[in-house]
Amino acid sequence: MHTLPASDATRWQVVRAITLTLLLVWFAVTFVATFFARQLDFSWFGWPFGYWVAAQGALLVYLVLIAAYAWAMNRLDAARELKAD
Amino acid sequence: MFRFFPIPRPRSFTQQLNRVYAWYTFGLLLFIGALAGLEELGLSKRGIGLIFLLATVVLYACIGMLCRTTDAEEYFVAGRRVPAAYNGMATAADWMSAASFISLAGTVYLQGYAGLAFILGWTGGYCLVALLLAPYLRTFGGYTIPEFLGERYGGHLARGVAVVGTVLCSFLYVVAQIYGVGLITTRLTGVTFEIGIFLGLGGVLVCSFLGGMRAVTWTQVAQYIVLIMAYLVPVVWLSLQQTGQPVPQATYGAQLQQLSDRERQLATDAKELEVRALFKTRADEYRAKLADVPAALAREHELASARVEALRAARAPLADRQAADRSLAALPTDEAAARAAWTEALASDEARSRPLGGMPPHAQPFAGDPSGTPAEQAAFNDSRNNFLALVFCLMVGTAALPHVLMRCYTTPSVRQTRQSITWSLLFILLLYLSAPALAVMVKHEVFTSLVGTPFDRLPAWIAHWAKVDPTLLSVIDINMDGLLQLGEIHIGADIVMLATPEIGGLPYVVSGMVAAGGLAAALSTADGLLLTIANALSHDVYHGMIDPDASARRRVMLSKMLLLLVALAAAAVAAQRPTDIVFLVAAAFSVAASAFFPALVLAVFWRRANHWGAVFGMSSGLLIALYYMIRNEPWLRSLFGITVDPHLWFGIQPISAGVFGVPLGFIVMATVSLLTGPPDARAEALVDKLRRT
Repeated sequence: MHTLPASDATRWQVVRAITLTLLLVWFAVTFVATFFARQLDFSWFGWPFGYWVAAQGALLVYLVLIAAYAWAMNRLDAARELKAD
Repeated sequence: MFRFFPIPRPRSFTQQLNRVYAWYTFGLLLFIGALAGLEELGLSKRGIGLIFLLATVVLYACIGMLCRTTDAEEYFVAGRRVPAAYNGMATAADWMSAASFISLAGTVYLQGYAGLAFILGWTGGYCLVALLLAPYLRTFGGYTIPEFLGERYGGHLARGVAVVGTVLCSFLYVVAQIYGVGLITTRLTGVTFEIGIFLGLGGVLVCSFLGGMRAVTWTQVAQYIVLIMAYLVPVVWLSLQQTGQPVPQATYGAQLQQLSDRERQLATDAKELEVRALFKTRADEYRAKLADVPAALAREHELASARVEALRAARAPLADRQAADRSLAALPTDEAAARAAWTEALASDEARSRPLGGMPPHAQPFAGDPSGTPAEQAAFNDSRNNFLALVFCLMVGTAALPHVLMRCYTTPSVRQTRQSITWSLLFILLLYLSAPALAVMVKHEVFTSLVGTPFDRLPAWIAHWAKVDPTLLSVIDINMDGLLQLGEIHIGADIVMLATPEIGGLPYVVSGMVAAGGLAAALSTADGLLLTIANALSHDVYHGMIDPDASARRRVMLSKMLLLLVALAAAAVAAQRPTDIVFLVAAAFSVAASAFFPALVLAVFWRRANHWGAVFGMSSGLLIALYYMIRNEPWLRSLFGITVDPHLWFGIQPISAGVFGVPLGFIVMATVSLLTGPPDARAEALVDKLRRT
């Protein structure tokens, strides 16, 4: 029962792909890296790496993910507006 | 054509805001400078505390007064014209509660890596908000979260269940905030807890009562500036003192290494071992008493009475006789009280009989050992599972707490909503990247400078805070060697932030600022939560279900009345001093995650999700989370009089009940949706509209 016009449907697929990719990164940083925190104990600028990821690394990745999403979506919007003109 | 004078353009709203808040920050600095001057002239600590408290509350009230409104669009969503950066700041203040500001660094101090679950969970959730919810909520453009669910899934039932979930989790959370307000005012000014609660409540109410979301937004921005300044100034100062570097977030790795070396050294230190043995003996005594409570209690009373009698007969000095009277009066009166007090003492002494006063090595992820004995392996797996489960619940809960999601409605456009989430996380990270650094710096100070100090030369802040509240900080020379050992310090989580200015040797005015920052964090969150509850009741229940023809003005009036009632109810509950405040906060996250997350995400991402799926999905998630917590959490067990044995699934602690609620919610929602008919055309049209975002 898809009622979206063709251009909107393609756009939605792109949006879903962007969302899924960024969520995969989020999952890897949050759960996979944390799961192996005890093994990741090499020194990273003075911190044990596993500790650093939970205290700083993951947080910075989150910020980059959200900023990247806003940027990508804004580009997508701009492209749509261009087409509409 | 060349013009010598450019045409004066009206200043944009953002420029006006920049100007107002620049002046505000400048005024704030002047105020702090003036107070520092007064401190030099001899203003008492209590006076500084009181002035800080009243000045900031009056300030927030004034902003509330200036922003008063009865217009629905202004009252419910601040006119939808809050620029991205300011909305980000308001969201950050809305989000960071008393727990973030006061307890976070202390939790990391006490729990080491395990405390980082809160750091990860309370930031990573923003990825889910940004990617899965925020833009779609803005496109929908309503006033509340239950309204969104009600429109998407149709019918009063879905909306009603959402209202119940909203009210429940927001109420749990607001009780914790008001409790925090009470604690801060008590510590800052010495007024009683109850008066503290109502003072703080006055500030919240004047603000949100008069101006709703509009007033709350602009107050939250002001509160964010206070709280971030109050957090960063002492952190940077302490770092300058310890390392000469102003950016501890980038350099505390070196201190962490030194701390780990010192931990290994203290674990085998002869004096520490002596202290631990003494605590072990004390723990064993309590264990023996607990084995037969009535007999032990009778014996204690007998001994204490005998001592009182003996002293009286011997005509001992008055002070000794009074001390004996006091220790007799301090004994637990009945069996239940004795059991509770001794169990607590046993746990505390047992913890202090372990290495490092019961704290794990700071940099080591998880307890136990994956390549050790079976018991150690089990401890490792258990600790890791619970860490991951807690991170999951806090993240998903972040993406489902209505008071944060409501802030997605207040920006002028979808584009600005996306940017505003980026700003929010940036503003939140300023504090969240500092908290673990602060924990390590304070721990470094305590472990290397404080440990080994003679008792008569301890710094003044120890005596000060031990007098304010012995549960925050207490020292005892248990092995009578006149030197402070690590095992002889008892530290509560909150003291780490509260005492930082004094540890760094800053004037008391900075301590006042820190307390004002904590107050700002608690008040800003309480504001947002109260508004969420009141709006859900007036907009969703009254306007949506009872009287759809009610005028906007009438709805706003009703929301204001409800706000007052809810605030009083929350204050009444907080005044009962529910024991476990951290649990209350985390419970709100598990409840919100279980109730809302599946329904919110599937609303956009699964066209086939329908009314009955949402109703059953939300209620089953909510119920299973509540059941698991009530069955297993000691405080809730006693509250509801549960007598069946606790039963943990996969060893997951009740704080992370959402780990069961969220998947169940998804499964039930999918199953029921597929078993019942597809959603109607109206819902389909809404999905299309959202997907065109």
